[in-house]
Amino acid sequence: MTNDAAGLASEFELKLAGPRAAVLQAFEAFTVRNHGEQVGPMRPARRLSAVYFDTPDRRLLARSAALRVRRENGNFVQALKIARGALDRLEHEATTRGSAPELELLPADIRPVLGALYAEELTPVFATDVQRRRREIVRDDGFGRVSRVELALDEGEVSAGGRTEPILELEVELKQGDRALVFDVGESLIDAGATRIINSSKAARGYQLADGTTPTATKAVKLRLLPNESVGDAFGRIMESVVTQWLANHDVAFDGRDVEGVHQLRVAVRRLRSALTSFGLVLAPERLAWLKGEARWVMAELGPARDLDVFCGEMLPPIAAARLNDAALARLRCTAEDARSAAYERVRVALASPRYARFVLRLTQWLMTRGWHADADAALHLQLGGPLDDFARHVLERRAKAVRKRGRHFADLDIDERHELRKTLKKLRYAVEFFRELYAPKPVKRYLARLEKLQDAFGHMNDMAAAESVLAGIVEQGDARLTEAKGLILGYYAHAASAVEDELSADWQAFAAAEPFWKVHGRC
Amino acid sequence: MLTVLVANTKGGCGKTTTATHLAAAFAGAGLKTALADCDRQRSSLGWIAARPAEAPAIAGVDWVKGPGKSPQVDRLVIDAPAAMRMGGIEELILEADVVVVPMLPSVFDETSTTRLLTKVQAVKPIRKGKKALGLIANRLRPRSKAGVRLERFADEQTHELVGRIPDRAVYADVARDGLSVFDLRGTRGEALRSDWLPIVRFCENQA
Repeated sequence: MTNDAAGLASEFELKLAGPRAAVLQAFEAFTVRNHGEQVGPMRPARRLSAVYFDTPDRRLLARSAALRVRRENGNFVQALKIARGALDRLEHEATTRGSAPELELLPADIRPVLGALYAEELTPVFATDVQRRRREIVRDDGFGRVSRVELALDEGEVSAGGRTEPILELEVELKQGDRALVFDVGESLIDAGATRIINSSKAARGYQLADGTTPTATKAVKLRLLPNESVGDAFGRIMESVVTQWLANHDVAFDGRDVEGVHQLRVAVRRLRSALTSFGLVLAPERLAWLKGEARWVMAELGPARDLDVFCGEMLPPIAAARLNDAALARLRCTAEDARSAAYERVRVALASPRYARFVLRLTQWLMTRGWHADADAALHLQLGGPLDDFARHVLERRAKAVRKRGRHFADLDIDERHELRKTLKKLRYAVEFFRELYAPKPVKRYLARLEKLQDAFGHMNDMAAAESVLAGIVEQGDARLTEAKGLILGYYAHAASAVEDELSADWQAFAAAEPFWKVHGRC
Repeated sequence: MLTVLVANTKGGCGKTTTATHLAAAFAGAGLKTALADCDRQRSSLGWIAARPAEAPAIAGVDWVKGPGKSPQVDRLVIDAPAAMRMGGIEELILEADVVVVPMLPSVFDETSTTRLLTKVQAVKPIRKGKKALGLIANRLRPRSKAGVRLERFADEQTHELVGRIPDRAVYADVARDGLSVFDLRGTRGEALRSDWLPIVRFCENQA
């Protein structure tokens, strides 16, 4: 924990869960893989009970803040935590006279973050009650630096309005020194079977219990790259936005009640892949290959759930609405819903697997240590330090060239060739989205409008392919009813695709004639 | 920064009381606050001049000759001029994040409020629902005929009644000393400011 001038502490921690036996074992028999660490003894369990406060209209929640008063050794301690991005949060603690929060104890510069808040507006929302066992892990690197982390096992419950939910989680918190120790301890816990990363706080779960809400997905925050920043810095900021979006949707996807969770998690992974592709020229090849491989695996595990969400939620309803009493369609819908449940089970298994946990952990560490610099040889170093605008122009030109190559003799392309073209268009689109802030908005908008229109037209054709692949997975041969329904759906989407065929050629022509916005300022 | 515009075309509807109380509510919660006075009578600035040094500080800004540079604060409250022309109010609405319109339980006030709301509704961010507007019933007498009538009037508007301030002598007393009910200590102050907190909440939820 590091303190700044105002007495605010910035906290860095990692949380893991898993089957109870594995979690207990991971804690009790804890060892770190690396050498030179000292693992402290288990301290006697402490009971921590806390009450969380907010206004009736949940203004603290809206400002990503959590305010609690905890009883500790006969004293009352008030703690305010404010999330800053996915990985960091600010924390302030103070001793109160009683069990009620005292806002005047908060430092002056934190008040604007909370807005106009009066103590009488605050009421208890939920409570947590856990037994906390702790041990300390200390590493002396033999080179003058000592790092300390606290490993805590919390077991208990969160309660609100008569409802309770169990809590069982391991918390790894950096107390001093190098963040690398947190990641090393995390890897050891994953090895021992605590493989499910938890991103949401106890407070988030308390609010859900109190208000009957479910975890909801969040979109990526808009990114503003600057022409004069270095390629390495820009990549870092893109990665930060990717990982933030990823972690924010991880628990939502695992929960599964908001279908946007899996979708936004996939968007984050796809943005990672396209960032890796766009910046591939400046990344070490072995690292690039590993990251891409793991990302591809995550996409594959999440894919069926997303495909079935789209199938059940978007593709089936228009047909079902047109044929209300069709028994074959009704049966197909049941079959698809069953397949969707199974696909979500696969998502949960993947997200709780050691492979996924290691991937997320290592990716986060790579981001936090700006690992691409350490990976780079002398030539890559030079390129990472180069200005972003030259690099962006180079990447955009390459992507556009790939599209031109794939799109030659457009009218004669067969299905597979079109699919390849669609993929190069997607890559171009991502590069445009990453770098658009570097250019005058109007030419970018014009270019993007034509690109989007073309992609939409391709999208209709892809709908059919997606429907085909989903149906191939759920309709067994020989089932007459389901085969009938399958024919109905494929017919519908084949018709929709043929209707846009003419449009597609026109959209291609329009796009091919679009002026590349990255060249507009090229001539002086 | 959150900017709150307090507006009504008719004088004496509690515009300055509302503006000073909102400013005092923000300052009392530890936020850096300024109060910009656009009204020729400069009552808000007079109130700030009378404000004792030990009360939470509020910076006064003179905008009588039109809006100037926005001060660097957490909350800015604008006391709009009475008798505003259309151009004037549009400019102020674009400056603001949220608009509150205080009104009295009287037939004359209904007419002027309706006129103001028609004008305000024509401004794009309000019409499109991008900026919130709330009505405040001022100097309300419990169970009075006029009070019931005002509630009914408010029900008919597209905008919600977000606060009800009872008619109390204390407002004249605190105003004279440059204070507000947010500056009163003890349970009396707490009881009085409970009338204002819904309005504060309404503003804060736009932040």
